[in-house]
Amino acid sequence: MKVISIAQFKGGSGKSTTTVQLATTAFRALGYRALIVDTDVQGSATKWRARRQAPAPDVIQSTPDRLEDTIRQIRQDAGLCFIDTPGHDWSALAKAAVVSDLTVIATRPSEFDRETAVQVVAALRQFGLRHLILLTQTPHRRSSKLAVWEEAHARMGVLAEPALTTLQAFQDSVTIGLGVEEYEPNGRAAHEVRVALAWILDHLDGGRR
Amino acid sequence: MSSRRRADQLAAAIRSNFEARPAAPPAHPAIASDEVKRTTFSAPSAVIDELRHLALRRHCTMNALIRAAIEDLLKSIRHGDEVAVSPADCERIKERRRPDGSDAD
Repeated sequence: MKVISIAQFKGGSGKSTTTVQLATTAFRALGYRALIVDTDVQGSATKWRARRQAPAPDVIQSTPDRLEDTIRQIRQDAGLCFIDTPGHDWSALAKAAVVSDLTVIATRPSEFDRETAVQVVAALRQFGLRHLILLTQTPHRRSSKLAVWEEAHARMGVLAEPALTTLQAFQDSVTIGLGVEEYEPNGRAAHEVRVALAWILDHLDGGRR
Repeated sequence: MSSRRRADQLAAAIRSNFEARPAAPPAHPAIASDEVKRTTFSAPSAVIDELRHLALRRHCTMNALIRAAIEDLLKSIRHGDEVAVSPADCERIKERRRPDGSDAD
């Protein structure tokens, strides 16, 4: 089983939304036995699962302290595990990162978010932990401003392509316990998640960059 | 090293990075300020100052900022959008040029 944690110290960067979207697309579009481990006390992924009719991907709750044991217990049950992490908690972020094969830092194109991501990236790099940066909630239209943000983030490390734009489908789908792959499979949001997931999995296997 | 101990050390490192002021990533240092400022782009000094300020705030080089702006402009032109630079602007800029091609500002 491969483990991917979705992290960022800053709150509101779209960690839970990104987690459930990646897991649903991994299950629906790529046929992975995908699982979500929710370590956030807010329980957004857990609540999403409660609204969901489909059996997979399942969501397992775990405290950051019990995370290592939880991962050990589910190792045989899934091919791909996504860990949703809380914001504002460096201990929880660290516990998720050390049990993960890859940490995806979900971050918005803003200076406050970038400043925070820089600190997390620096620490992960210091410990030799694989990570990449995924821009979330970016504007719909490509612009020079976005290109500058992309360049600034690419300087910090590996930047996943493409970014996830601000699309209503992301929020609408999770409201009814779905992923965009199920809610609007031919829409732009579903396409973005598929491409981003393929990129992440490629990076996880060491196939790119 | 156990993963619990490693996680504790990583958490301490993240915390320490946040508490350090000014924050600086060790392996990918911020762009050196002279690199940010270096550009062959010629423009009035007020424009250069503004670009430098923007580049420093965005942690990118001035050249990256200019390249991104040009790409954006070309995209708008290709899409048939109205662009901010009019033929009159071009004439005005040309008039301010010295005979050797440098800007008169």
